[in-house]
Amino acid sequence: MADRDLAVTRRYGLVHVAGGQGGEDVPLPATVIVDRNGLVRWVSVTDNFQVRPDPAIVARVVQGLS
Amino acid sequence: MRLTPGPLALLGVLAAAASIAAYVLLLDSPAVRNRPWLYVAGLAMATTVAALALTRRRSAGTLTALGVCVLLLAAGTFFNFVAARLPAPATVLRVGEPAPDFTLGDAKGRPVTLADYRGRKPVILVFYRGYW
Repeated sequence: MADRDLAVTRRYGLVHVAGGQGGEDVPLPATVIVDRNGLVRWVSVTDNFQVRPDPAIVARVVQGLS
Repeated sequence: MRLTPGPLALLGVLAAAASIAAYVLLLDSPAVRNRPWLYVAGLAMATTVAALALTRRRSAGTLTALGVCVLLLAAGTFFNFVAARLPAPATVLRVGEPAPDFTLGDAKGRPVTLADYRGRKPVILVFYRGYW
């Protein structure tokens, strides 16, 4: 999905103001797990753009949801 | 085996190049990708080796080797500890609270609504920048 105008990114509080290569707003790299009830169950926001969550950990969290 | 200063200086430069190459080549491995300080540590060790070569023989070759290693170490340190750093988010997300609903187009333009998954399956949302 493409959040072209960052509307959803803003609603989630994940905008990196002027963080793009041309000074434009971009999202902070983040991973959010939402359970079947629509509740946030796990959030990871990186403080170093080289570092992202290990997919194995994300999979384990999802598998652990009832 | 005790390396003479020339090969030792070369070893330093090769180790510096290998530190960067290994990180880039192993980016697909989360264990490596998520420890970017490893390449900075590799560059620091390479610089130490080149400095050792210079203490044994001061020549254009050993000076150049140390210069290359110091430059790469400075660049790597700046990239990892300054350029790659991101500000803390103004996150409104709290674990246990409802995820804000949204509708966005998928790759084919068809609308996807988060709330439609309620009662059906968990959802993983990944926010990324498009070009890195």
